Amino acid sequence: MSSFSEKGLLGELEQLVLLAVIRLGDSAYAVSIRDEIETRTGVGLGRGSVYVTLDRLDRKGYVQSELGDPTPERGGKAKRGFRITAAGRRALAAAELAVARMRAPLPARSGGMR
Amino acid sequence: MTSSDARPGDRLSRLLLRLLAPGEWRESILGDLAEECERRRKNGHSAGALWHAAASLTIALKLRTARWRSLLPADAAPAARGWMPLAGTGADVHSAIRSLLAHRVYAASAILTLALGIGANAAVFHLANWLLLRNTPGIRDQSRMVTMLLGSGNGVQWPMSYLDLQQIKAGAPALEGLAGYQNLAVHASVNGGDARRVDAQIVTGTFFDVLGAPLTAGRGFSNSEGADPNAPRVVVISHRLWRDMFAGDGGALGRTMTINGVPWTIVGIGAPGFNGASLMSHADLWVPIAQWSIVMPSYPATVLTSRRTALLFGAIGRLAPSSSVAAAQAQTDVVRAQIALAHPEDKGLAARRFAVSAGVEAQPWARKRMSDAFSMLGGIVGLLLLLTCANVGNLMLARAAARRSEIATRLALGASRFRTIRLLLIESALLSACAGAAALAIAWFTGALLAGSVLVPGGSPITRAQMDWRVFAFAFALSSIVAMIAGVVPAVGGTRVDLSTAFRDGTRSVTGGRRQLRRVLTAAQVAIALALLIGAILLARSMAARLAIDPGYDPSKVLSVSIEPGLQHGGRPPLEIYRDVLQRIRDTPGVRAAGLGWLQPYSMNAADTSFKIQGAAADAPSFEADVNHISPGYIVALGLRLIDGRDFTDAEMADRPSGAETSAIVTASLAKRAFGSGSAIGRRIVQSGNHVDVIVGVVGDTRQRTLNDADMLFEPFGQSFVSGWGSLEIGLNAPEADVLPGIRRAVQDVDPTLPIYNVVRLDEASRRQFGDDELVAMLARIFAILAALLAAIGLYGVLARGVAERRREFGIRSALGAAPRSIARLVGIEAVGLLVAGLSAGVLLSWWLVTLLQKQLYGVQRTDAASWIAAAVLTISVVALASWPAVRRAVRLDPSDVLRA
Repeated sequence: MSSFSEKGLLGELEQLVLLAVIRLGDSAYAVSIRDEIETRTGVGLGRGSVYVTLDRLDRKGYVQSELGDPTPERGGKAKRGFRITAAGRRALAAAELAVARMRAPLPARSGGMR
Repeated sequence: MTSSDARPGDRLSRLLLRLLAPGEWRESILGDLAEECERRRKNGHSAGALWHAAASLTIALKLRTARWRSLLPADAAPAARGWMPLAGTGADVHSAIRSLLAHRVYAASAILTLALGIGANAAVFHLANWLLLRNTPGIRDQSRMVTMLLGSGNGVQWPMSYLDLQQIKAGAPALEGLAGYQNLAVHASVNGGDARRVDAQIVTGTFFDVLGAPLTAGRGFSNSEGADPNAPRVVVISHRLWRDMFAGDGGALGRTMTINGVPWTIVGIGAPGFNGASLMSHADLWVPIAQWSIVMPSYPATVLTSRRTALLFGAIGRLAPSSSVAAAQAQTDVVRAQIALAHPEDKGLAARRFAVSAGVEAQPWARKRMSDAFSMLGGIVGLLLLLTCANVGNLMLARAAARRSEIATRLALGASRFRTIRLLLIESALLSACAGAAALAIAWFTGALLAGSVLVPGGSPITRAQMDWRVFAFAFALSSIVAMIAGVVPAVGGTRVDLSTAFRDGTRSVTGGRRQLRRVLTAAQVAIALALLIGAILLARSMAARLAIDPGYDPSKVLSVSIEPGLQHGGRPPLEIYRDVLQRIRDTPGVRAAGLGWLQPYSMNAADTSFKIQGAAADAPSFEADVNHISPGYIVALGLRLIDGRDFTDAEMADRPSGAETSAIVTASLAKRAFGSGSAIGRRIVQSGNHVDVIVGVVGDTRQRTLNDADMLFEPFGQSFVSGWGSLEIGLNAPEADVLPGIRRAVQDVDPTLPIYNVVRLDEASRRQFGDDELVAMLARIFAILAALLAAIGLYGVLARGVAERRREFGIRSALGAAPRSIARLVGIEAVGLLVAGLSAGVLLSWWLVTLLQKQLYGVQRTDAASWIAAAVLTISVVALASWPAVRRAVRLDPSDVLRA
């Protein structure tokens, strides 16, 4: 837990991006991550937000990146692929756990509040 | 896909990303964007260069800001986290005040230094504003005023006729109103009291209407008063004259005053501070043009009826709503062409133009001369301000160094660097606010000090300058800029603190960078001091060269007093009055000799002529000379040496039959130039109009006009024409103050209503010619001395601090056996380095300054080696003097003391 108190709980965006990285496996990079989130949730993220979030996760040590081979359809530019780290998985679990714990005793949403 | 590589959008994006994005992201972002581009194009969206560049810019900026934000300490004050630059300012101001109060010596010296720099600038601006920039008091909506002057493009102004102005007014609807005026002087008195000479303007009837009635009480002139010589004589007096002559009596309106011996009715009193349309005007009385025969008696009876009788030197107009200066000029040009067509005999008009310009400006040359002087002063005080900034910047750096521990503590406790810099900036803002207030006081004091001095040759003494919002705004703006300059550098440099070293040996070591900055600032001070010294020396030498010119007599022994009997309406003929006055003055005790001249020496009035030697060939050269008309006794009164021939006789001071020869006296250099080594006596010269002079005398050279030209031709007063005014030159053998009452009495005995004016000793008159130069030279001297002092103090501070910081090193060196000389050399090397850097930068700066001064220099070149060497030697001496204490301290360090400490 100590690591979370230092770096804080993952934010919503960070969670979404980390989940997309897990889901995409070897083919996770900025464009595919954004697509994945959009197709699954219907939420279209700003292009910049994806990069900023990835950058932050990278510097927190929750993802690892490596440059792939340049491909012709990318104008000869390398692709920066991401993989989740063990610390990233722990952080994700902690965030989900925290939300679950907070949600458990929550009263029903409708009624009762007259 | 090679096509995407060649797209310009790609290249722009690459540039943006290289500039902004973190390195590890650049390539992949480009690749991602290429992919997305392709996809968008397939989906039929636009994906041009613009889209590409915009997308990369957004991404790069977002990445950058996110990283910057993450650098802010997570637990810092909210002000530092969210970008809220003003939060917590109150607390910072409080703490800055406390800290300045705790370091009073530092605060006082910084404030004093800055006050000098800002104050000098504010003072110069204050004067420039008062004399050149502010609006003329009393004029309504001055932005719509225009000036019209008849000029021929080479700076010469010509008088305009009443009829021409009428015609222009009729043909130029862009001008809502147009009025002409001419400066003159009148003899005014009230209730049979002493007559005084008053500066006045003769104006067209529309004058006060065009200006929007700058009146305290009463009215301007009516149409008939302005155009009908038989209308009742009415006059408007200035607020100043109303206070002087009527003690501000409200009943003055409607009363009668005597002007040039004739009664007039006062119909209006001017607005306070209004002395004519232009700031340069100094009129105290206005009369309508229809009364010219009383105030300008020498003009013919055709002032209102012939365009050849032109007496209006200036005109002012008011633009009609939504018209422009250009439109007024175009319409005026059309009228000028019509006038030229109707009057082919006026050949001069073809080369002249009624030039319309925005604003009210009576004397472009005076304004030019003054603004030249001010731009010079501006350059000088600007340099002084730079120097004080460098000086105070140094002080602040030193303080920042001393506060390293404090700043480190603040940073360690989580204050952001921004917050710390802000604290230091608030301190410097407080300092410069205090300095700005002191500067306003300096400016005010300068204005009070210079009140009454003559800044334009031949101009009237300036009134006491009043502060207005412009001066305050100027001082405020300058203080803010100075706060930034003097504060930012040390603040940014001072907060770059490595916490670990700062805590370890806080007061001992100084980072190399900051020491470098201090050296640069000190070298800059030396450079500026050198430039100001050179400027001051050149100006002083130029002034000395001017005053050293030999006028050919001793002007300090001659008192000049002017009278204008020509204005005494219905009085005796002027020539009789001159004769009587001269006689009585010669009998006055303390008077050695007296004579009468047409033009007072060194007044701005001058006349010149060109002549040929009678009987010379048609293609023989003609000679140029200044002309004056003088009475017998003038030469003796001035003290000129009669080299050959004789003085004029009393009989010659009279009208000559037309066509008769005139006698003439020439100066020696003119005689030599015209007639060679033979005697000039009896030779004849021919001036234009076949006017023949026979030379009767040769006098020693005298310089009376510009002090440049020794060629003068004197003719007998009254022989060619009788001037309405004359200048009595009175040789004194007693102090001026003892003689003047007798002279006044002598004039009054002849005509009790004839005032004297232009009372001045000729040495004073000759100096007044250079009034503005002398002022500039004096200020330059003061500023240069200040600059040298400030630079010395700054240098001393830097070297002393250097020695203090290197105490340990010097101690160890001498403990290990270093000779005092080698330690002195270590300090000396630093001083010499600063000196060399300062001198080399100073030479460049000086060159700029002397180029600015060039126009003002007389008898000395801006490259004058002696001046430059003198300034350099002075600078070197100042540096040596300022370095001496530091060297001595370094040498006298006791190793045991140091090492034990």
